Amino acid sequence: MPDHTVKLDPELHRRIAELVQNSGAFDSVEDYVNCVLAELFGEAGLHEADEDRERMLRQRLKDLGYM
Amino acid sequence: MAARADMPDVLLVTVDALRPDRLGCYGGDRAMAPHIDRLADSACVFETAWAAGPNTPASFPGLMASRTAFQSGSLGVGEAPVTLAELLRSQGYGTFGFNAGNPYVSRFFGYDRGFDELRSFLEHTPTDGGVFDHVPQDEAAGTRVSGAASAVRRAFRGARAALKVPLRALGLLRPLEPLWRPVLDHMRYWSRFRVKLDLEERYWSAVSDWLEAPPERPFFLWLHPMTVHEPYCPPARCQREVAGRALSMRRMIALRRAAGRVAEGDRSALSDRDVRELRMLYDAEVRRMDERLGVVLDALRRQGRLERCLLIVTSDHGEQFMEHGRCFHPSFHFNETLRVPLLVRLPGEDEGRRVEREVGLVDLLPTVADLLGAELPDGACVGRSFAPLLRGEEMSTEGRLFVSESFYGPHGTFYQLDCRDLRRVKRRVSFQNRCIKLAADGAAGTCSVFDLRSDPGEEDDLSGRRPELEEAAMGLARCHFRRAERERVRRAFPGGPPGGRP
Repeated sequence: MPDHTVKLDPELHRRIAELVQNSGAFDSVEDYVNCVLAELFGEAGLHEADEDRERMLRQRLKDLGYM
Repeated sequence: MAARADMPDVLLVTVDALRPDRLGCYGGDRAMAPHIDRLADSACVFETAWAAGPNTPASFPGLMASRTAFQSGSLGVGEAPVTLAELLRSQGYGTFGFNAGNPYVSRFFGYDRGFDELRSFLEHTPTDGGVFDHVPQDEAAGTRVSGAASAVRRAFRGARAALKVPLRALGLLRPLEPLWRPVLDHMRYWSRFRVKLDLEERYWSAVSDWLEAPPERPFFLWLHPMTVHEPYCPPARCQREVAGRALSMRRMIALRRAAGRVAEGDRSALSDRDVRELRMLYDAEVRRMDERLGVVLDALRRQGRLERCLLIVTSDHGEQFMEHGRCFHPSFHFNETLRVPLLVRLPGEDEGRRVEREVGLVDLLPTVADLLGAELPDGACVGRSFAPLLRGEEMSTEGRLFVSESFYGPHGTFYQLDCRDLRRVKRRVSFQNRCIKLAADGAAGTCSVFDLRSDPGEEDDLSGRRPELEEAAMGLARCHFRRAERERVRRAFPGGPPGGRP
């Protein structure tokens, strides 16, 4: 099995961890890096998953009579 | 491009920190702002308009560029695809702005984009503190502290610095605080009051001078008065007009000091009587601002340009008076700061209407473009035009949640932020309409939920009891934050990743 591990510079890792902690958008540094790389390389999967989730949450609010 | 002769002048007034409920047209005392109320008699009054944030830096990207603050990596509209002034200038308008000294809507944050002339009156804004700590000094060099009040402020800063060292060395700084702090605070707020009063005079005088000879061609005039913004120090006459009595300068300073302690976390610093008096001062400032605005409207009326003017009066955010334990407009998403007045009068309109449909200030740019028949770049706006509502047509806003954002720094306020780099700030976001408020703090991982139909005062947080709503708040916030990150990545690498796809 190929090893997909990427070793980040410790300072970069610290800064991303700070960003992750402040933004609330990501679970971990790995989650952030995956999201950024997917966007950079035009992988639509994560984007679509977010869109689907948002649509589902909005529909639920609508069903509850809030929209 | 030359403006067509039939194009209206456009006057946009964004009164900083104006609550809708202080205006007669929103159910307040009709004696408070008679000129605005008179305008409302011939305008569309939007019953519910949402700001894109609870304070100026968070709200204004939505108002001027139909963007959310998080879509940029830095504060302001420097990275926005298009601004309102740019749109109007592209249509041949002369574009002029008068900002009464708010640095967050100055050229430092891109708000001069599209303006032939933007005057920001920053001469009294200290360049050695607050927002300017984060502005490159060569850019800040154009501003300087001047005037007697500012000299007092400089003296105060020097005295404070000189006193602190020996007192701290002797371990006396804290024990002696009850002695030195009132004196220094009094000096500080006295100088701030004087600066504000001086600025007010110069600001409105400059606006009046401009109105003496406006350009012949259609103009876009943006006024951003700070009259209503704290510190509240209205003239005694205005206080008597709204309350039948006037507070002394000493009392006004004491109230501002106490409100400052609330901001530092001491919620007991203001008594009920203090809050009532703060509200009275605020109302008197609204009265003063309305008088000044009346002068502007009269000048345009005399020149026959008011009738053919597209007139928009709104605010960037509201103001809190301890409804939720805080004063002024911190980075919390309660309706006292998120709801703003919005009056739009079409050229030639003489009949007022009330519009029940909810709109957001992010809708202003696309609405103006729609009214003028101007094109906007694809994807430039997050808002949508409400021009059909202005024409009396139906328009559905069903299924819409309005988004507001804010950010805060290490001390919980936005003043200490590195405004040029928003990558590491802590974020809050809320999604709301008349029925519900879903607010999330990205850094703390917490949320609050209010059913605004049964709880319009936002007193009963449902987040612990309604897991489905809590999930919606956190889920929507997460999607929103991630979308902002993706947009920033896209902007950073518009042609794709360095080296291309592997």
